[in-house]
Amino acid sequence: MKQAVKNLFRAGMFFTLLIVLLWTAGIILRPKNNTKAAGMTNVSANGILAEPDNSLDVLFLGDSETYNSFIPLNMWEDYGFTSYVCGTGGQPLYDSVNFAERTFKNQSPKLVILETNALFRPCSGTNGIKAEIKELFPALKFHDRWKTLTSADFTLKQEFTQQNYLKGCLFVTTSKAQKQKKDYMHDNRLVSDIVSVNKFYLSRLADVCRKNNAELILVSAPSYKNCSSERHDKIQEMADKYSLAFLDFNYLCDELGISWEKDTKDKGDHLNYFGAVKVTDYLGRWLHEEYELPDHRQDAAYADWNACLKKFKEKVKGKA
Amino acid sequence: MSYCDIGYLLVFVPAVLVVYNIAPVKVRRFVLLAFSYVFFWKMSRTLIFWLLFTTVFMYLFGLWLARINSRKREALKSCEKTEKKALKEKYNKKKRRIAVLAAALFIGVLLVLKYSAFAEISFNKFAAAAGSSFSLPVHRFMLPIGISFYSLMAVSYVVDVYRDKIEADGNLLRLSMFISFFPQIMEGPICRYENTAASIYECKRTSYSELAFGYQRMMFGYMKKTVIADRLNLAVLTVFDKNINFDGGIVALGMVLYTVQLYMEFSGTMDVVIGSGQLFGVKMPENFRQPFFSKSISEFWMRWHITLGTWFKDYIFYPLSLSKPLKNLTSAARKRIGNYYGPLMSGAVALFCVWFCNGLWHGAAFSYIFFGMYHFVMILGGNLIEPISKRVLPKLRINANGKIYTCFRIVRTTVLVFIGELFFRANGLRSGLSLFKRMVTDFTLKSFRNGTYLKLRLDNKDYVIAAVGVLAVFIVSLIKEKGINIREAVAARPAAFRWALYYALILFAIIFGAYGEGYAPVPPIYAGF
Repeated sequence: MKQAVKNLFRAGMFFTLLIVLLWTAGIILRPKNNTKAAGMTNVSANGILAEPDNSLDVLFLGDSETYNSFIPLNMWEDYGFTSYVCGTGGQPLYDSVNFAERTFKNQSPKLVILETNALFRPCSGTNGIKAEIKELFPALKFHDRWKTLTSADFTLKQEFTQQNYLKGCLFVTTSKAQKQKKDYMHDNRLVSDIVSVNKFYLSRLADVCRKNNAELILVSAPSYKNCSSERHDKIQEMADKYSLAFLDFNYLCDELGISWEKDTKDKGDHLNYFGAVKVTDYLGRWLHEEYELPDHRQDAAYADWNACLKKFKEKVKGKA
Repeated sequence: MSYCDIGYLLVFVPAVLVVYNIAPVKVRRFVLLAFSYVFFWKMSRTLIFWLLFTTVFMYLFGLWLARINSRKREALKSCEKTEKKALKEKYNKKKRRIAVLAAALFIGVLLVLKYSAFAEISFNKFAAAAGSSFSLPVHRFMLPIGISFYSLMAVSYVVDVYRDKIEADGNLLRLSMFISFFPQIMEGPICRYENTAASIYECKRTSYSELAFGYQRMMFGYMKKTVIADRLNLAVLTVFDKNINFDGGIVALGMVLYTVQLYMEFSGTMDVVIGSGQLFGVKMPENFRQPFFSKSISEFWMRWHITLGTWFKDYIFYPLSLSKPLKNLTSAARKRIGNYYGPLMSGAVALFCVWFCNGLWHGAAFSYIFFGMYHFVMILGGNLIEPISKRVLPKLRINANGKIYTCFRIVRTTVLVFIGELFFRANGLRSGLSLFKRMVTDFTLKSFRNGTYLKLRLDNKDYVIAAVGVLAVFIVSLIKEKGINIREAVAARPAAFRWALYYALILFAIIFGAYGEGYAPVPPIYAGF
């Protein structure tokens, strides 16, 4: 018994010290800025780190549908509330939860909008646990930075300086038409089960939002390839279960005038800029009418948003 | 999930350990079996049917042989002395038929699932080349993970029962645990029933020292795989799969890097596997014994994938060598070409069969058969010239046991292994021959001077880290080669030294591992065989 206690103590000591070492390595290895050169991943979504504290009203989470469908600067121009798209390619829900938790540390968005495509992505519990471990120990996530470490990394200070003037969205004006003209919502060819791991992370995201006094909203962006009525029903079940608002743009395509020939960049998988403008117009108006979001357009503290809008308009003028 | 996946190390194994150790011994057996099936199911889903099929038939054939044995004993008790020999022969014949039937069933399933498409495509090609319009339909089957390993285990079990080496197991649970034990199911080692079944079934509570030793070995294996093998994978892919006309120098580099990758990947996985077994009190056989210290190709194969080599030796080489036709051939050859070359000639027939099967076991392709034949020729060639070199070396005043000559033999063997691995890795025999030709006819060091070697998706820092990893493995191998048990030697040192060493190993693997962002996961090479 005595030996067992001794062994337990030894093992405890060993792992405690290992955790300290790993954590220290993580502090050294983590990027000290949110730029690609500094080793940051998902630079566009991580542009949120350079936003001033408590300056965002709406946070978008989700996969590539998110940054292809929502344009924060258009909503700023029309209604004056601020938003940021923390969308990343193939974002699994555990990453969405991590983005939300990290954002709430220095932001207090009133709304968190989750694009629902990620709900149907296969996801195992092991992957979720791995992601949690990586969040706890940045050395696992940023280990490959050993190649580019500089003396500045050992000062341990993080300073995020790179703002993303598009606020996380992607600007693509090219189009690749979806030529089939079937009623894709009623062509139930997609897997429509939400795996239990995704249900778990959705409930966690709802909890995180509740604890931070934010409302979680589910939104399905128009996607010819990824949406169906069966999927809609499953999302609705989840929305009802957690008392969440759910807006499915796939049933609003006619009203918005979405053209699957002109408004998609890749045959109906994602929208291009023209499709995103239509969705954003509707969403901005809906958010403005349904939720009491502040209008900061006259607030000097938000002057930078007007500068970003100006830059964005110039970009649009050149391309669109 | 592979054995070197972080999910296996940090989630799956700890979960099994916790549930296993909490459960009472009788329940523990079911826990271990259930987790083994979960592990298999995660990778092969419904193909688990084939594993269950093999398990049930191993059990039934074993019992059948046991029944014949007990009948034989009873019959021998009551028979006359003069009839005993005939009676024995009668029952042995029956047993042999059952063992052959069992082996044919297990190997038959393997052949059908793994080689049908290859055989049918090859047949169709030959038929077309011969001008025939007849062609067979091509059947492609999904392969359950580890079938090449557990089928051989099943054969060895039944044959060992037939040979009265082991008793048939009447306990289906023990047999199921033995064949499906999750640490070994995917990549071996090819365990023998008498070595591991009892300890797997015993289900000992995990002791502190086994936990520590097991995880230490797993970490060392993880370092080999993730720091060295997975890093080199990028360069290997570029040389072998990208269809770029690199010069012979780069082909030679690719060949060396692939051999290092294969060794680090397979031996690293074996460290993880054997370490995992240790956590459950199971001592699995070693699959590697410092193969790159071998002085000949035949010695190399006694040190590399040992359990496969011994399986072929015990179940193909010896039965063939001791068969009547080969015995007759040996006697005839002895008379004509002497006592050394005579047995060698009949041995060559058995050796040919072993290496044909060995090549084919690795995969359904002509390049694998060529790989087998290459090693057959090398081993046979080595045996043929042995008497000549024994005569010539003293005349040249070369000390056959001296350090210089030993080093020469090690280097020569290593180079021959490298060449074999070039064909093994190449995408088909034609590609292998073309790479080999380029390496020999267009060998230049230009690519190392002008920096072409950096175009293999490895920078100088990658090469340095891989070299540091290889050096660490080399030092450990050297210590082991001297007969020192390195883990016990380390365990005897002060705690501060040990802990520093363990932390260094863990952090080295974590920081310098080729995983995560920017690296594609590398599927385990041997699981594909």
